[in-house]
Amino acid sequence: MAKTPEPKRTISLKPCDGDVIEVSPMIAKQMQTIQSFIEDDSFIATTTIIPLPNVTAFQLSKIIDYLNYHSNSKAVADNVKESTKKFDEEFLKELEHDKLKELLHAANYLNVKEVLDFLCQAVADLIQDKSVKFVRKFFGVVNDYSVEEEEDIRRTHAWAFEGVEED
Amino acid sequence: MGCESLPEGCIATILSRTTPRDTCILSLVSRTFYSASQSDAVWASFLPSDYISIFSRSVSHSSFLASSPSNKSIYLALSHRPIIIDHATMSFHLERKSGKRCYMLAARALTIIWGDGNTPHYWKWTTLPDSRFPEVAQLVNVCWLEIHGVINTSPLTPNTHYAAYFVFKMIDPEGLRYPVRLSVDISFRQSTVKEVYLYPNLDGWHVDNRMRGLQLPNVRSDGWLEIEMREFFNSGLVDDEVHMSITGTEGSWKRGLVIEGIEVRPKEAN
Repeated sequence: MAKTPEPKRTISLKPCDGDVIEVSPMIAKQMQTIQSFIEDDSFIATTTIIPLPNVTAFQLSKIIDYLNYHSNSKAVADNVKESTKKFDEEFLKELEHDKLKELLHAANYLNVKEVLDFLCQAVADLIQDKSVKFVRKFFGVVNDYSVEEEEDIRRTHAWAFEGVEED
Repeated sequence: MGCESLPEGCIATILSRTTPRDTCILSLVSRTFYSASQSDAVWASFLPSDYISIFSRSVSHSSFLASSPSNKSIYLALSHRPIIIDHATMSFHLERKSGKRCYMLAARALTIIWGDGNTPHYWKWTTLPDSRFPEVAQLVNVCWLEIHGVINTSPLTPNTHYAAYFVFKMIDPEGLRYPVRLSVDISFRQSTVKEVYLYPNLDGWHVDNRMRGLQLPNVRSDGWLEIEMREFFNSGLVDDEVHMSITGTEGSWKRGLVIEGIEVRPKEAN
């Protein structure tokens, strides 16, 4: 039976620093921010290009890679679990701290739960057992406490600071 | 790139994947971190899933949840001091830094040979102000010292190295200068037996070859003595029964041992 030509089925995303990237509706659906675009009445899949001023081409393609891999490997068999683990490890290995942090921003902006969960876990593993100073530097956060406030927090959570060296 | 700061919700998700201790320490990073570190969402991930039932099994804390405390307050209550549950046969608490689950079987939950209450000239049940439980078992006089306890691994935190500790003290002890045997069986598959001393130090004793190198008890922060019976890994995949026993049958009459219970808690990561 002859197939009727299908209308364009992909969603066009335009990162801030590169060419348009086409993604399947399956993938786009997992990005809540894109999903709300698509649900808008004025959205026409054939012509509309969704601009993503906060996301680079690198970040967008990493996120798409992750979603693609994971949507294809939902099985629970041990060998699949094993290769998924390997994929996740490789995925993170390619990311330096800054890139990881920026990807987290991008995933947060696009609101992709699966990637966000994965990256939050990766960051949590990185900052666990680390000093306040390390974590400030990691997130590029400045200390906005007064000396008294800091003292106060240390006092109320004295049990947590036991055996922790001061920065 | 990436100069804008992460939203609080995202920081909360990250903190919820660390530990209670990390969360408290990292509240010092900035005000946004502090705010995230107080959130119910973060502390929900550190609370045991059955905490409501644990409170309901306790007399002293049965109405704790009535005032709708924050998840952090609930966590702190569960990790502040042990909660006595199940008609004072057991205590429960969370190890504060990690949130891992700790239980102690009270002496009342153990099987003590000659200690069923019918022979008070062998064992008697008494009250001690420094006990967490209303009753402890005091050895009056026996030749045959034998105590058993069983705990299931399913209520313990998965993926965690645990150890079982015999918790006791000595009040005017006599006849206990012989080693006792500690044995632990996990679902009758892996059994270990070792000889130990229940005396915290052997100062002034004549130490012979057999006594040399035997494990001695440590003094706990609550003043009781404890001796590690065995460590084991709880994968969380199977519900094992851990059978523990303390046996001392050498020598003749023994007295002065007071039993608080057997504690099962995570083995500190070194």
